[in-house]
Amino acid sequence: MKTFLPFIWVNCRHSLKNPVLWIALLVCTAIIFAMLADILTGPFPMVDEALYTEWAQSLQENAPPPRIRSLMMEYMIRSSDWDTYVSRIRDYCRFCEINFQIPGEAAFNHIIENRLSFADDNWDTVTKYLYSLAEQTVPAERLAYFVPLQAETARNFGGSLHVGSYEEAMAQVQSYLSLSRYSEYVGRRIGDIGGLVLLFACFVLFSMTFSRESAPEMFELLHVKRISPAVFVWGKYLGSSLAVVFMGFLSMTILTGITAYHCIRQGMDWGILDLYKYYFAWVVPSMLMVGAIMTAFTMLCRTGIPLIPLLFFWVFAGTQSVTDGKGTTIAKQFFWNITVRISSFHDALFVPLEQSFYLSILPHKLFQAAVLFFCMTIAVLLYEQQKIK
Amino acid sequence: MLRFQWKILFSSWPKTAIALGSALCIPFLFRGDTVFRALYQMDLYLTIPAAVLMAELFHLEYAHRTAEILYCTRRRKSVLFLQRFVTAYVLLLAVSVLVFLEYSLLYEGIRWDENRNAGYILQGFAGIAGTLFFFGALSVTVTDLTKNYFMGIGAALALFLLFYYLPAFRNTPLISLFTLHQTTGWPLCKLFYTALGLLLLWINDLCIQKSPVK
Repeated sequence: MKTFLPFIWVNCRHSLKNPVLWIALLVCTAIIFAMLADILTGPFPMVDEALYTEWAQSLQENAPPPRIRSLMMEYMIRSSDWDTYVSRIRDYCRFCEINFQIPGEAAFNHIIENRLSFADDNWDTVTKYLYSLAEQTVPAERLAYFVPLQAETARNFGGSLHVGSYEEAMAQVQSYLSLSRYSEYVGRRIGDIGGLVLLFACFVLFSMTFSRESAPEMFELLHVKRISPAVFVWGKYLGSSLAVVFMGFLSMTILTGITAYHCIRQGMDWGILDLYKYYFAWVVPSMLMVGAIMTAFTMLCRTGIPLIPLLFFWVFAGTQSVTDGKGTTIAKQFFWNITVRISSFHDALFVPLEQSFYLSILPHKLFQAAVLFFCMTIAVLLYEQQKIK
Repeated sequence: MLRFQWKILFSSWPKTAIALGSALCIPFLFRGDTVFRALYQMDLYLTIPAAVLMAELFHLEYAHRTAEILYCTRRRKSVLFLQRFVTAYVLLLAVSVLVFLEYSLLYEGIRWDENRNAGYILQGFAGIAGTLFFFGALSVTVTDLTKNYFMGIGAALALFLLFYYLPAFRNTPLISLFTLHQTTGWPLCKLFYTALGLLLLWINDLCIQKSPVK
């Protein structure tokens, strides 16, 4: 411990001197601010009626929306179970009509009149009925690609939200604000999308951690050091991690200041720790896991650079719907995603989240911790092997 | 001489293999059940392996301190850099063809797509070539200007994120890069960025001619 802690501190200071870190801070903060500009500088959340009407009209006409385009979900009113069911069936019947030439309108009317599958989440009855219609209209080889309606894919058809009147929308917003502070909402948005931006910066920053030590002339020099391989690898990793986490912390501080100013201007309640708690609980574990993966890979290939494309793809793919070869959406989030987005679990981030939501994320965070320790163990072993050679 | 450059360029074959191999993962991660969608995903995501692969084309010389010793004539430096750039670029285009073949095999919908004709696909590949050229040129130019390939890769990736996330970059005509077959002006946009790429390579050429290297 006598050498370990000072070694971490030395590496942290070394990483902080790197200009790439500070450029990444500026770029990430600018991108996050630009993406959240509407909610941090605009009239959100209590807009005037003219702006709301313009937004609602643009939505219905599929026209380019006004300034508050990114806030759609926050103003949408949750539909009743029956309206959600009707919307879903209408959309699914239209899909089957286009792809399998079934009589969409007649099928829709039959399903609605008989309330097929309305009482349960299992859509088997609806699927069997439409499949029987498709059997009469398309050849067998096309029928093999029939897309069944299932519990996990049903949300891709229709919607459970609708555009309400101005009074309805503002009453909903007011009720949310009475349950949760506005800065909490901003923190959640940052945890949702800002975390991705910071993660991208981590890919490049962590790939630099061992870049100089991997060079042959440096490696020979390191043999004279008396610190153990584990202390060296963990010390370098933790030093870089501290610097990168500090970079994100500074970014959160800037955004907290902007949020506080916006809340005070609008007369809303705000909390100083609201952005930080989402950053440390949501984003930092992912950053540390990425650092560990990069460290292990650098020990294997002397550089972490080639892993950057794969990490990028891993993050992007994890935020999109995954499909099989038929184009059926399988699931929005897999357990082994590099990070989970809050928006994948809730349509509208303005909805106050229950405690059970955070408990459901705990296994993913434990998984990230397991990956971290596994990768660091591999890295130490590889470093020892290289030292022996 | 080209074989010699090939050996220098790919002296660390696991590194190159992983960077290019990541491109082959694109069809498994990003849906492309139509020709348009497959070409769009390729146009978007192949830029990342391009930025990573192209960054250290000349940085190898700075890292090993041979930039001013081995290739001491101006013409020689330019020619050798061009050989490496063209080699890496052709390799990326070959990988992009493989990626499209993967999409064709993985997604049945492509076989029935009305856009499955040579003209449409070749136009798409021409657009992808323009995007790869621009991002490769940007990555290598920033690397050589700053003598730091993390800066080169970081600059290319930062620009990619701006194009990906910010509406101002996505929706503005001529600036929005990833608009393959989506707008009427997309060929003009690709030509614009190809011209920018040529300008960047010219700046890079001026940079690598500077001697001595500090």
